[in-house]
Amino acid sequence: MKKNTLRECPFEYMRDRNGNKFSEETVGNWYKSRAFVLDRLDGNQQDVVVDGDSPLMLSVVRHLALYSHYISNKPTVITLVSQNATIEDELKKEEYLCHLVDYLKRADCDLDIELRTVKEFSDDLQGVRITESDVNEFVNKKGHDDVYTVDTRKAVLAQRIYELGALIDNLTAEDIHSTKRYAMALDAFEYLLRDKIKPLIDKAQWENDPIKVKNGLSSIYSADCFELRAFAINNDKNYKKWEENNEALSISEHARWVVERLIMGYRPINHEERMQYESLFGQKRQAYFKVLKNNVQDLAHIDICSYRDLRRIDPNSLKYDSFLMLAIPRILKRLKH
Amino acid sequence: MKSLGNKWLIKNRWWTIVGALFVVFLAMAIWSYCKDKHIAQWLQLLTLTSFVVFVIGLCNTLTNIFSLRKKENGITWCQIIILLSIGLWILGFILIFNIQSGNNNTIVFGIIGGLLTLIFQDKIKGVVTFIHLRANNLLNIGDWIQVPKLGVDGEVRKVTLTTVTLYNWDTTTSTIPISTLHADHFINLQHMSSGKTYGWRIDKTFIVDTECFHTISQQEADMFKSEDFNKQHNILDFLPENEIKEGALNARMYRLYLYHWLMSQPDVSQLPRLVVKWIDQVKEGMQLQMYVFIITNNLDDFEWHQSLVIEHVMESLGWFGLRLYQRPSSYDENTKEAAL
Repeated sequence: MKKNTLRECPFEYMRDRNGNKFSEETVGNWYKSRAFVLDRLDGNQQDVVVDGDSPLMLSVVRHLALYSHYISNKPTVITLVSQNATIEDELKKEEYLCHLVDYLKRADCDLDIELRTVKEFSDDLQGVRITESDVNEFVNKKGHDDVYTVDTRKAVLAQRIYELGALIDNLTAEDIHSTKRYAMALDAFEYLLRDKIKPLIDKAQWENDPIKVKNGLSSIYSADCFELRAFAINNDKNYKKWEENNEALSISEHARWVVERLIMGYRPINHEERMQYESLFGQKRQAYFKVLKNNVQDLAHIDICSYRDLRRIDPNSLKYDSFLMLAIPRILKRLKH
Repeated sequence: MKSLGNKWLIKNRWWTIVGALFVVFLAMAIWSYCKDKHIAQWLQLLTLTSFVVFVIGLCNTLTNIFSLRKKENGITWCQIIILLSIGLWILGFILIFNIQSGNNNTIVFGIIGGLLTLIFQDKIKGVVTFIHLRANNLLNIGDWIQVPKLGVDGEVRKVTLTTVTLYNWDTTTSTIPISTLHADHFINLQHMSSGKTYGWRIDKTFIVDTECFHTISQQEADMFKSEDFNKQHNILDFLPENEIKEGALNARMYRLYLYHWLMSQPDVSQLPRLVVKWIDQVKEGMQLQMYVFIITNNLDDFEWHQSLVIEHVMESLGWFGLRLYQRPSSYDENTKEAAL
């Protein structure tokens, strides 16, 4: 285990929509596939062929979907090789891709990943091939803590960004990519960065509040992509470079967030909810927004939409993506990456 | 940029002559300083003047170049250098002629100074305005501005210490004193037109003929919900089904339909507000107001989408048994009389 890390075990706290914890095997597969996928992704966009439909391989598909987000015009293709006729139903399970499968089929879907299923592997398939033995080999090579725990330091700092973004109302909703307007907020964040990094998991809260767990995991998934973001701009430590690419990075981050929410059990609002939402105004609309996203049995989120739609539906949320992208180089500097 | 600069510098040769004169005067001033101090004073003034004119000429040429390239900082610095040059000339004048209190020249120069201040007060205000506008980034080359008091509406082409040159939408050019932009209000539409706000506003009012307002029957309600009708008009996607019932007012249903339809349009922003409302009744009928923002950064695109929205209103009113009010024309009257 590396020094100066804060290793925690967050996946154990995840619960399904009925409030039941996931099996040990499922949680174990998440850890394995997360470590494996993060190790494999080097920042260059690459299509992937996942050869196999075991629970472990489906977890690999889950984590590939979570992390394969690049600044590119072309989507990343994830091809799953499976002879199972009902593989789609399997993928729709909460422990794998959940609502993402249906969302990818929508006409208005503009996500940067594409999911394909084929019956047999062939050399014609585009992308890097991953087999179950690759994953197991990787896991066996690595130490237990490197696989079954997560260094949550980046996630803690990412969460501070979200909290700060929520506090500062004057982060502009319009002209969202005018990076100069974040200057004060970033100064405040740099001040906050000096604070000691405390653990992400508050056991008492995480045991009882599934939304808290999902938000915590959201920070982890977001933070796991920081290096990929840095790679996208050639690991440039100059803040100016991050500012110049802020819009492209923010669009990519929103796509990542949408995928993450869909996998975590959130769905886009349906026709009736949209009608209801549009018929409410001011505080009542905000309250309804919260009801939808906190209904543990059937989570729904207004912001699960394209970036363009987000700009017209809920522009106040755009600040989180933009602000986070500007904060990443500061976080990486703080953690001396 | 370099070749462009060279072209301009060669074309505007007059101030290079002034530059040469500056060197000549400087040499003469040094020479005469040793011989006759009175002549030397005037030569010093000429030297200073030719230097200042040289600097102003150079800065004005550079301003033109920077204006072409929209180099805002370059323009600002050129204008500040011009201002400093004028300040330098005044300071030099005072020092050369040794203007001090008690000196006979003081009163004369004081009066001249006062008069010049009075004559050039707008210019002085202009300088202050220039600094204010540039320091707060309120005006840039290429900005679309409107000055209602002067009836000016166009794009900024050139900004100097004293004037702003605009290219109007009717292809004419206006030059206005920059001080106007400090004294009176002006509208800068650049943020809106470059898509940095919620969008471009559509604020339209339609007069709907009240004669066709009615509560719908069960048969009409069934029609609105029918598959055939929705295949054609798709209203169930934009109208809550519980609003379609016997006894519902068609005007209310239409307002709700239009509101939800606008909310779902990919080019319509839901913020800062999207309003579809009935306003005052007039003798022609009820006024339906539509207040929405179109997300775009292009005037033509905005006009296009605005027209699409208006056309949809005209088309969809009929689905709900409503119609726009149209004052009868002489043709209508004549046709009516002929029929009678």
